[in-house]
Amino acid sequence: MKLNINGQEREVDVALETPLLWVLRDHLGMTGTKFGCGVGVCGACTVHLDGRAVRSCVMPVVAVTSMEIRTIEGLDHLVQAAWIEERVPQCGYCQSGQLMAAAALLAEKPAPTDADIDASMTNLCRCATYQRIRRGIHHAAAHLAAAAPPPATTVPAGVPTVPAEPAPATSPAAGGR
Amino acid sequence: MLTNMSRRGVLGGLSGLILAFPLRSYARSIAAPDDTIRLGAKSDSPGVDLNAWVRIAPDDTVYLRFGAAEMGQGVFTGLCMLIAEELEVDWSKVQAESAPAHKDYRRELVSTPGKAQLTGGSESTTGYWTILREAGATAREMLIAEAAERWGVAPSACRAEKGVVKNGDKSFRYGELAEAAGARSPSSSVVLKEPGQFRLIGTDVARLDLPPKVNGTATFGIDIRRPGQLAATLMACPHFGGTLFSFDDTAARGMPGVVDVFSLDERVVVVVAQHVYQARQGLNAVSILWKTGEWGALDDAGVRSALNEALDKGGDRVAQHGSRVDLEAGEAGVVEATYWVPYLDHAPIEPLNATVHVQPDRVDVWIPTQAQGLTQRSVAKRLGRSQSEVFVHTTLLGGGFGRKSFFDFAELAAAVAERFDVPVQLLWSREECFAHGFYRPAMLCRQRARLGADGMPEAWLIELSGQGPADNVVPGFLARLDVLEGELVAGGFPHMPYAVPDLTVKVAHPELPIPVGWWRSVHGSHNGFFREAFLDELAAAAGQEPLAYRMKLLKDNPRELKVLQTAVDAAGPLVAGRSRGVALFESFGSIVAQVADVTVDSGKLRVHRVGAAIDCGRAVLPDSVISQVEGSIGMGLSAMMREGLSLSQGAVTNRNFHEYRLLMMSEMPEIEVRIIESGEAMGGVGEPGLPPIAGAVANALYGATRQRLRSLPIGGDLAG
Repeated sequence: MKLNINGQEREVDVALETPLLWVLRDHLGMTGTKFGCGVGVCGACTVHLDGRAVRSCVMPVVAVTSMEIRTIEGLDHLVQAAWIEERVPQCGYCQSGQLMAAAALLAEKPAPTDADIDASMTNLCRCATYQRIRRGIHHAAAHLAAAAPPPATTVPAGVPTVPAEPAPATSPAAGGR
Repeated sequence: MLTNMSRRGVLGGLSGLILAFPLRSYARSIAAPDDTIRLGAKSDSPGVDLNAWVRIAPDDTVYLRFGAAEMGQGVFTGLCMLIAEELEVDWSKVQAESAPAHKDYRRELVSTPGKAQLTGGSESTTGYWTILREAGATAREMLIAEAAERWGVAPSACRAEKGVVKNGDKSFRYGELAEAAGARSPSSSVVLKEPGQFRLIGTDVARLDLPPKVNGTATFGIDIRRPGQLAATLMACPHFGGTLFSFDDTAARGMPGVVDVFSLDERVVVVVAQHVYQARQGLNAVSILWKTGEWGALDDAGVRSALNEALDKGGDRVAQHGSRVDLEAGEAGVVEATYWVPYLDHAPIEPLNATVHVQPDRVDVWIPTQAQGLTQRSVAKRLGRSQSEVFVHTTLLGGGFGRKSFFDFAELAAAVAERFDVPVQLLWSREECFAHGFYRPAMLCRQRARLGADGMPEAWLIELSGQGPADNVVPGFLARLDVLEGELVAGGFPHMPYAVPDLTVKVAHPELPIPVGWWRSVHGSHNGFFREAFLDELAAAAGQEPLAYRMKLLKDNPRELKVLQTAVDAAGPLVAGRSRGVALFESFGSIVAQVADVTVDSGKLRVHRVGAAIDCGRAVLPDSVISQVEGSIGMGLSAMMREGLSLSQGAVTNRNFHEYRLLMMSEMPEIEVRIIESGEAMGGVGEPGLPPIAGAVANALYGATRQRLRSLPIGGDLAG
């Protein structure tokens, strides 16, 4: 079947009920989306389907063939730069999902309140980076406001962000502090 | 500070007979590009090894190896800073590499003599503190010596700075010197900087692990993909002490992608498939019958009564200060209270996994482990191979918290992979992770104290009952474990900073089959609550304000007093309508105080704000100290508000996050952390932030409700 992932058409041959998570990780080698619980609770597997944050571990792939799928590999959003500015991640495992959830929230509400964040950011973080996630979202919202009106999931020219294909990923240059 | 390298033999390969080729041949055989995990970067690392820790490329890129496991605590960056500080490199040129399991990458154990490649005990920074600075300094001196020789001047006439050796207006880049410098003999002694000379240590340099953690390229264990790799998953007998009775794999074998179904050790059923989902579906299709063992009837009530019975029988006396006073229940002037905490799972969000490739001449293990050395040893033992044939590649860890210091998941993956020619990744389901943890032990604590005429405690008896977290450790792993037991179970009581003339601590051991282990902050995870909540009960009995009461008991301990005062300052003024609680706990060489402000609205507890202070002696990467304290508060609060394993038929019944709930965004308080750099011996930071929070919140809750909280989790209506 054909899937539209990060703007590219991808062909996969899998059982129809296979959760999208495993199609991404196992069949397409896109391991940025994580497995945490398998029951749609923890949020580590969060991706965008037509711009909405969805738990991919309980989403049969057959249900998403007509949708635009975006994963962390295809996210190019200033919320990622805000995450580095606020030094949000600790272990980092849940952060792909947190970032996808945050980007979806900002697309819907460019200036979310704390209550908005509490209501929509339901992903678990065992390192408890929650307050930094909150700061990161507010930080990104401030950048969005300064660069308004930006499209929701693309980066306006001139706004600093991490590269989409960050060159040597361990290079501090990409961290840019 | 002058350190004699040959005497200390710190850089294993640099001493003795192989001095002529300091680790170069070793590095080539072990850390060929394909074998070293670069944790996100794609390029291989050309260049020359100056020693086990430092490799410099012609383009001046500096590859630094870290021997510990990065699980969020920041060692990836912090340990590289220790090398870089002495190596005098430009931080923007540094790339980190995960070191293989090898004796050269062990650290000093802080709490017991010896060395190990083990990330735990909040000891990574202290344990590598001298080793890594010496490694950096030794490499720097080799570069300087090479430059000096080329110029025909004395090394003392040269200086190193930001990746360049200079002599007057002449200079060589490290990249120009590295190859020849790497062939030189290291000096036998190096001079390390005094703390006042540090340029990197103590600053918030760019964290090396952040970029890959925001774009999906960070490589965790679960992300390892090797050519031809198969996917395996398992189910083990959920009943502690039980076994596999029978299984029928007929249906599973007919399912798409399923390669094999088999059992291991008479207690585990494994399904191997082409892909993870196929393996998971295959396992669902296996019908399995388990046999419960002698503990097949054990439930929550059974655990409670086992702990109660052990307590009533009386425990071993692990500490005794002052007169031996056995306080009796109901004695006049004696305050008594009994506290309880449940079994907890570590619940790192990355499920347990390991990828193993067994070949005739070598075994490769890619694994998110906190215990590289033990993993190497246990895999070798399981497969009947020599340790030198087992290559452990440590990935990033998606959380550890102590769980990934055990090696059960490595051994099982090895046993599975042994049956195949290709690499196999064994990935546990969340349900299996919950069902087969090494849990924080449930603990019962009865305390009695007699107050003097001034209201201060004259005598304090602490009786703990619970499994010791070292109960499952291979005998002999830590030779002095029996000595440590007082600390692992009772820590925080025997050497408490409060002035109490007569102090007695006893530990009772119930016989239970439940696997237990170290959970972030170990003893502190329960004793911080027990001690600090009871102390407030004593203050109340004395009619004194709890903060002032603590300060009186700490009057001869200026460090603790300062920490307590700093936490109060960090908390700021108390907002009207909120209730405040304080707690202090010293563990892993650091002292932490926390001040929690709470309300109870419509019967629901809300922790609004926590002021915290930590005296860890010295902070290498201050922001990571702060984030570790923040995270520890969140994890401690999560345990307090929600967490607890439930047992029935000798098995854990809550096996996923909808049944074992963790703290969420909406429940996380604002936190302000202040670091006190006292200049005392460095302590740890990954764990000591956890113990005080439950006591601080329980004490605040008393102000709001006039009810003493003595049993966790809070649960029920209060937790919402």
